[in-house]
Amino acid sequence: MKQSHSLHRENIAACILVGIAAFLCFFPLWVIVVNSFNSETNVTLNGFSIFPKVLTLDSFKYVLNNKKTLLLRAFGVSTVTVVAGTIFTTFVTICYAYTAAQDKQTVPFANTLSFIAWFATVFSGGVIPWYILTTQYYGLKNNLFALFVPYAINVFNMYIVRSSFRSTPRALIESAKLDGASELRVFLSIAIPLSKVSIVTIIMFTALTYWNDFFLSLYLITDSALFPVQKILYSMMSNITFLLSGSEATSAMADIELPANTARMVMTVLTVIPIAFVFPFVQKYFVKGITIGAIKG
Amino acid sequence: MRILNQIKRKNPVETSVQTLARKRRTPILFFILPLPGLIALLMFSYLPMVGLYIVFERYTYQGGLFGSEFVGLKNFEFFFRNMSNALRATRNTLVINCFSILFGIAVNVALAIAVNEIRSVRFRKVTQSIMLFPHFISWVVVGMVFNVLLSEGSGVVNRLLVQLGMDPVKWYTNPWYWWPILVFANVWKSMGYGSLVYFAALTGFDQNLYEAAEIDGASRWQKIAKITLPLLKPTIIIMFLLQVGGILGGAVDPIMGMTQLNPSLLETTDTIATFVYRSAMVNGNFASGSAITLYQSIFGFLFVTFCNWIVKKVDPEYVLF
Repeated sequence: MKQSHSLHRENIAACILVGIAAFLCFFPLWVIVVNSFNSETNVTLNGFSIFPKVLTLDSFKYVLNNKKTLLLRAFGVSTVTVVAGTIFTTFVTICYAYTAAQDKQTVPFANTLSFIAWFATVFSGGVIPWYILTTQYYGLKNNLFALFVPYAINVFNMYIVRSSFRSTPRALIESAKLDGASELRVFLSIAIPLSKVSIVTIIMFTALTYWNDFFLSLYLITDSALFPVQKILYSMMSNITFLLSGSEATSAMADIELPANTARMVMTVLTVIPIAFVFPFVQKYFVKGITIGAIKG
Repeated sequence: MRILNQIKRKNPVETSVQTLARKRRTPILFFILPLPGLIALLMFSYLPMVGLYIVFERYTYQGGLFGSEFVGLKNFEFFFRNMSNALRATRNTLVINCFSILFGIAVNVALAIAVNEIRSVRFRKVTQSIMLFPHFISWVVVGMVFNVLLSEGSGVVNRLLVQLGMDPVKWYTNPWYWWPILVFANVWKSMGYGSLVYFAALTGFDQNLYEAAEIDGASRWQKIAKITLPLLKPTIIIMFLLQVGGILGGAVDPIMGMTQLNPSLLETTDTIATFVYRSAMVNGNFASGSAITLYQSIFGFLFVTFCNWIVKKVDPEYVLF
């Protein structure tokens, strides 16, 4: 009886601690959403509200009406990047991971592959040689390819899938081979379906990485027609007045100038909405997938 | 005909048995599969390492990476002339990252243990979901979030301070607020993710250990200190090394998202990554920026080696090299 009592007390302390942490994570996002429905005059007079005093769709209407082309273009660029990038990166990463997961008898250089990938995460040539090579030699500047090709392989995700491929039952593969299945067939029909959880996990990670990516557009995209949503949001935040040549680009940049506080909130909400939609699915696979990679790594 | 077919069908079986018996040859597939990844690593990781040769030349667009004029160590002049900036950037990188990693580990482990103590499954699931969400938003959005909180005129924090009768704080003017702010933002963003990884490790522990400790009369705190924490050590080390590796990525997004390279905050927020970005991209001076890039690479490598040395002291089983 006494024990269950002390257990109950500890429980409350833990609940309070976790509750506070969850509140800290929830509150700032709540403020953003509340103020996207706020009116601009109210914000200028009283500052950002914590509770919705004024509820209006004015800012949403303003942004969606006046910045329609800008928004459509930015969301288009981001969507294309996410779709093309996710397919591309997942393909490259899985193929690499599958080879690196083989045993020494089948693929003598399997460990070398893992080492090559790992070393690239420990030592880097820095961003300047990378930038010069990417823009000047590979031609990845101001085009859609520049927004995903440099992220072709993700080493961390490669490790997640590799450890999952390694746990594929050997007996299953051997029996398939005895039945005459080729290596390709084993890869496509046995290894991949059995590692479904890890693969779905890295697909979601990759998609989120692309949606949230700011680095590639910062370095490789200067043409405002190809700005993804993150870069538009950044430009709105810093209110940088760009001096761009080319009439189309200049007019698009003029569009970005949005001093209005609530309009920024609206833009933030619009940027986060797609994530909020996929979040439940991501979360479902998150625990299963990530722990394999992080712990067995 | 039927016999022939049977033989044909049997053939692969025989050959595969034969190859098993003999020395196995690597199937061609395994030469093809890793190729795209290898090419990508070569293009975006290994050739840039070779491209570090740029530190010895006066880079021109026409000359390119390997054809520009060789100038020896001249580029380092710029580096040493800007020594104070480089040292400042090193200091900021170390302070922000070390404190973020250490506080992050402490907060995440504490949260994971607390979450594990919670009996109500629904409360646990809801709080974990909420905490996880910031992990999935970009640093630009995080910057916007903190802007709403800290903005000088209309920010939530300042308005609360005013209501409590205190003076509003000029967050975006005084650089010395920004180490804690950036560390807080880092911990805030990774709280749910980190605690979830530790929590997943926790749930895999052998429950017999806890039962045995209970029979011996161990208190809850004793169980945490003597069983949970030692068992979590490998996970903590792996997470530590992963985060150290992350520093090398030279991520500019946290700083740029949070401060937009606000000039009045550079004193505490200019990290090596943003220093490189500013010298090369904002000032457009590749040659002088290149010396900093080399410095960045060497510094990063030394830092990983140092962390590896620490891990070796703690638990040699998990060293990187």
